[in-house]
Amino acid sequence: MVEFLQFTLSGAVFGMVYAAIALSLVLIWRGTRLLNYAQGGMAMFTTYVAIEVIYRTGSYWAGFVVALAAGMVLGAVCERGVVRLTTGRPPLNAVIVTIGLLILLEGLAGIFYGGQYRSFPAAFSIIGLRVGHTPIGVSRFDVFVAAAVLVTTLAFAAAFKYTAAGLRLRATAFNPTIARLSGIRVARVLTVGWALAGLLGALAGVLVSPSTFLYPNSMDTIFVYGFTAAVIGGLDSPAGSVVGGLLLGIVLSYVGGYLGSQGPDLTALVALGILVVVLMIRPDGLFAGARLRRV
Amino acid sequence: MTVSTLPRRLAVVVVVAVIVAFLSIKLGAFRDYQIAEIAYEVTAVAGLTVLTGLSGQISLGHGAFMAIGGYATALVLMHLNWPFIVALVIAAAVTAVAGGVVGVAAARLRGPYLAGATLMLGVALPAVAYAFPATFGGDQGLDVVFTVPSFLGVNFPLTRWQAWVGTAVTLVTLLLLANLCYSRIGRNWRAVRDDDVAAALDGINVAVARIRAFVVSATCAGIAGSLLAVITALVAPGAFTLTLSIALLTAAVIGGLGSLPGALWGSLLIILVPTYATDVASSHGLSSSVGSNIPIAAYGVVLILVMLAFPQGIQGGVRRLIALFGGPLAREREHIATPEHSEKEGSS
Amino acid sequence: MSDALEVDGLVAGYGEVIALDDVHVSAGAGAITAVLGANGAGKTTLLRAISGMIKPRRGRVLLDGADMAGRSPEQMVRAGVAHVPEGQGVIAELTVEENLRIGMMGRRANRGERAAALDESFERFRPLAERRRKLASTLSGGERQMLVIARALLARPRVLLLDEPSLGLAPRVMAQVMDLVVRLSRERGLAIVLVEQNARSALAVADQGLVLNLGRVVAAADAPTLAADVALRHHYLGF
Repeated sequence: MVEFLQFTLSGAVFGMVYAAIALSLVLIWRGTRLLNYAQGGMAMFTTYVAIEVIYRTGSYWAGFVVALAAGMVLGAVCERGVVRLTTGRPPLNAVIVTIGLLILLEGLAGIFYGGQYRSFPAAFSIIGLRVGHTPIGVSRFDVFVAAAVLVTTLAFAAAFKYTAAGLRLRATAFNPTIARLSGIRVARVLTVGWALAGLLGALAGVLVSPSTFLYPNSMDTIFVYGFTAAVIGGLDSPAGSVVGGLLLGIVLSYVGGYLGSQGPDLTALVALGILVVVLMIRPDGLFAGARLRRV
Repeated sequence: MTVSTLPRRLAVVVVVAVIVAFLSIKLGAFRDYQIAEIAYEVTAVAGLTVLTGLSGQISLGHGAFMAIGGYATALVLMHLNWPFIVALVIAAAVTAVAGGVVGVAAARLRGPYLAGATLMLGVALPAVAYAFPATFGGDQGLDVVFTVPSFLGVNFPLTRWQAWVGTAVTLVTLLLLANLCYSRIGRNWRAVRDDDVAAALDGINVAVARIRAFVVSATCAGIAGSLLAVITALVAPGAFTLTLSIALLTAAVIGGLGSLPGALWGSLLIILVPTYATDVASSHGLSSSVGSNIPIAAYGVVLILVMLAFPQGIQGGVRRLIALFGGPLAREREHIATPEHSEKEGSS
Repeated sequence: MSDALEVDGLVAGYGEVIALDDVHVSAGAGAITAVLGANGAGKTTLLRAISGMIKPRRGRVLLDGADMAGRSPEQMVRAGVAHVPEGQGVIAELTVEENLRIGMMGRRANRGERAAALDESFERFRPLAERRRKLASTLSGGERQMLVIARALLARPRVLLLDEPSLGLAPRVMAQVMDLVVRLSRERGLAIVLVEQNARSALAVADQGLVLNLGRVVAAADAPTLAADVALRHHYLGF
């Protein structure tokens, strides 16, 4: 029973990281109908920036803040500089362009920072917390991770609902044509969307890197699972990302925990299984809107 | 239409075969190996470009089908000692079945949801090899023995034989694929891709067409995997990573989606650019971390630039060139072209 | 009456297809100009070319004398051209109030001005006030059309392009919408360009009109003249 709790909680923490990636993908998908395959790579790159700042200033929080800012800048630059050039072209062109960005970022990280595994500090203690004498499977840092993602998500949700900028983003996401005809500068809105997605990705990167170490490919698996979480939840649904992320994180934690040595090899298969089951029942994800009737 | 172009296609096949045979004799062992490599890449990419370009279904996990074909071949050769051609046919059959299964599961999925599912397939399937190390050799994989047949004599280099076999299998596969694409089946695929509701109203069984496309493209990937097994003499999980699946899609799109010549351009690009970049970097004697990463960064830049410069892929660029210089040739190729309208919302 | 909007020698199309060929339109302030013709004649394309949704190949779009051809929709809105497109003009996933707020995003206005403008909108369009916080998807067809027009008005346009505002509406509701359109032009001095399939009802409210056929202007005159031309009506307008 205690084990179950431990696996559940530690799985939930990872799940929140997947949710952060999933949310960044959903944000871009809703605004531009594009999947940003470079999201993991962007998160990795900003985490490297963070670690440089931490080494130079000795302050974790300086690095944290710079990472988030760098994420916004990187997101905006990628959209404005590169992805925008694919508008009006076949949709798969943007896929290849973002893949190219991913590869470019991984190469640049290797050039600037070297390829070896680096450790990344945690904001708080990583010693397991206990209730009485029983370890519950998570540390103070883990709680921070879950809280950080949750707070950011809620902050975004509030901003979308209650601010003018948020309204512009939603209008553009729901109906870019009407948004333009109302005078909304859709191009600028899209850049802001990518910047916010970049922030979410950067957050995921600094939160998960203490566990995974940092190297040019360190965010690849996280990206795959974040993408899966987004698909499970439904690409148009931020709530779906959180649910999908938690579901995936917790179930995979059980797999790794209960299946011992075979666990790690089977996580991908189990994730595939979850994905197949969900998509068979709901081809557009758990929180999909009504589907058009197909003939 | 088919009658007059089948002879033309056979002629192309014969010409290419002769050219490759000639090159393989002239160039050294390393180039022969590259020819063989390009051959199996083209086979896999051709299947994928048909799936994505003609039937409109994306797959980010085609490496999984190559893995199935490769491991099936390795196991047949290892345990049953049958000739390669038999192993190839078995591998193709097994992969076709797998393609059918995936196709059925994927039939109702669209766009990014299909992408997500196939992405996870590409990651998960090779992991099976780790989970059952006794059968699949785990991390080390399975060695594959492939020898030159005796009638060619003792001095015939293995790499040249590999290049020949690879090219022959590829050309046959491409020929069959081309015939399929220009047939009613191919037309049905394009109809389903462009508007599946209209296609259904026209009496086309949309699900069957989509599943059939998956079966065909998976089979091509399985054949490619089989070739990979005998050319690299090894099947191991490390050969079938997500990177491979992504590279296949990249090659298909950059070469020109839906185009068989495009499969060739794309494969050439994804194989030769990294090799060339690595050569340049190492010849400059850069430190290892910088030197090994510059080719990676360069490759990324090339992908971006080519994609922006040639929105219809390299074959699209070739078509434009041909249109400038020779009318009739251009008109025939338009027939099999990719969808006319971009589906991106918000473009007015 | 000066021409708020003048279109001169406009050529526009999609890909290889030319949808508009050498089209001239003069729309005066405070007047309603009807654009008529069969399906596919180019009426919607004309509005799109004026509002910036598509880029004209040739020709000028003059707003108070200044050529605005080829500008983006966002720029045209800020310049004073509001386009109410055919069909689904509301954003169904947003509330009524949010839909209206969007209409003001092309304007420079502080919070007080926006609130006042919203109140004024709700004053004039009572049914919208009642449903202020409801999702636009819950509105009936007529209410949605009202919302779309209200939103367009919040942009303080000088030119209002209406594409089939009565499409899919019951006759009584259609009459109300037409009524509203007339009042708007008179009260606010708006130049209204009205595209309508139903030529009869359009000519009943319009001051002048033009008839498009296959992208060309085949007739342009004041409304009574057009309505009286039986041969023209039979040939191009279906009544």
